[in-house]
Amino acid sequence: MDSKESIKKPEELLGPLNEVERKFAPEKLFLKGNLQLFEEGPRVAIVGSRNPSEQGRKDTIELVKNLVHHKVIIVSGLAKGIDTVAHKTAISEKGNTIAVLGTPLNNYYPAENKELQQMISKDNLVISQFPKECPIQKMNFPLRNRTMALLSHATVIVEAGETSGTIHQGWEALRLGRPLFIMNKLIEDTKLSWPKKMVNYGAIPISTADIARMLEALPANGSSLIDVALRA
Amino acid sequence: MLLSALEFGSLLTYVPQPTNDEQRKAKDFTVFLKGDKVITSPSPQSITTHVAKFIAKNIASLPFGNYFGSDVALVPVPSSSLRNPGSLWVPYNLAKALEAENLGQLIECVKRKIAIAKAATAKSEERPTPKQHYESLEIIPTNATMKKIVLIDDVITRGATAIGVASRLKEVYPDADIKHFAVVRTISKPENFVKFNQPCIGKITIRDGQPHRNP
Repeated sequence: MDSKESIKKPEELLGPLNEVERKFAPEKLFLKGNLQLFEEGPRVAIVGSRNPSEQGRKDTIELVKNLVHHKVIIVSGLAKGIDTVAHKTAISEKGNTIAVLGTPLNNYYPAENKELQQMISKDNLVISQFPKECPIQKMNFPLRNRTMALLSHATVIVEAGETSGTIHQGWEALRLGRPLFIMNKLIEDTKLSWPKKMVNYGAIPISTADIARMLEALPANGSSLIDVALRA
Repeated sequence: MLLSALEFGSLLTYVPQPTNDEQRKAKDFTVFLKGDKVITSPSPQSITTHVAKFIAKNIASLPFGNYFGSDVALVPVPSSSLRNPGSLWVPYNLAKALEAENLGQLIECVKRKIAIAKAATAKSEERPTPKQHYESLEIIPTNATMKKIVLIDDVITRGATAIGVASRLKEVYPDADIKHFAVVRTISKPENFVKFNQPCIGKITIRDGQPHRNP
């Protein structure tokens, strides 16, 4: 395991990027932890509200447990709420997790997740697109969400309000042509407009029981270096 | 009015739930294709470019080789959902790559006006019918010659989209010869998967409003 810090271009982790992927890809990524995770399994981002409902927490736990059971690596943003539940469940289920930060690697935001961030950087992987001197700014977080969409084979939005930063990630996943899953209850919530709009643009409604359908949309392995050349 | 049948060609096969290494390779290729990933071997290029070059190089031996030619309109199939400008559209990239190999002329002339459920990820009972596809599509007028039309898609599952698009085009271009090409055709059951590289031509027929693809 490598818990040293390193700097990589996104292409070095994901393989060459296409034009759509390049548009918002950060120039560099600062990493701390086990880089091998990029070769070890499909990566699914589980994201959502900083102030989730009890049902949102339960849904996150169930989804993460099921995905980890199928060797899926759980990606999230180390924010309060759904992100924290996703990371902690992945760890407690002996799965792997990647935290994509909205701050530089040497900052801890929120402060209460300092220990979790250190644990993930030791046994799993923490990634930031922000160099150490970069100030913590509100605009960093939607940029981080775009990067998280790029680094993940699929994104699941478990719970999010009308103004949640998570919505940026949903639109970016759709722009990239990556599967975006939204929990059914969000689509049925008459107070929310974004889930229905995203479904019209290609998001896929799911429940926590729909793991098989989610797995069908993921690659069989997580490597970006598989041999896909056609031969006559 | 809906067409009752449509000929299609496809190059490869895959299963959504693979059970062996060959099937896993086929699935990874398909996921990469749906993202139009850039591959490094044999040289850095998008998968759609790689596929178009492969078809151009092997056209004489491919069963659907006669679908392509300089007088053919290559019409990218719209996705089931609406699309924001600048979003990835793999059938468009594929049609463009085929055009670059002189295998036809890219004509963007069908668009989705109403989003419908995604067939690939919908439960079987929720998959849209050819009629729903037909009703959700509209034709963009073009001055191009539309005598020979090939619908270009990345993956064909049952063929409902293909029938919907072809039916719309046939209304506007009644004399056109319309065929459908998809890089990959889906094999639902792993036990029915024979091999990854399996070029074929086949037929989609409509029975009781539902599409049936053979093979």
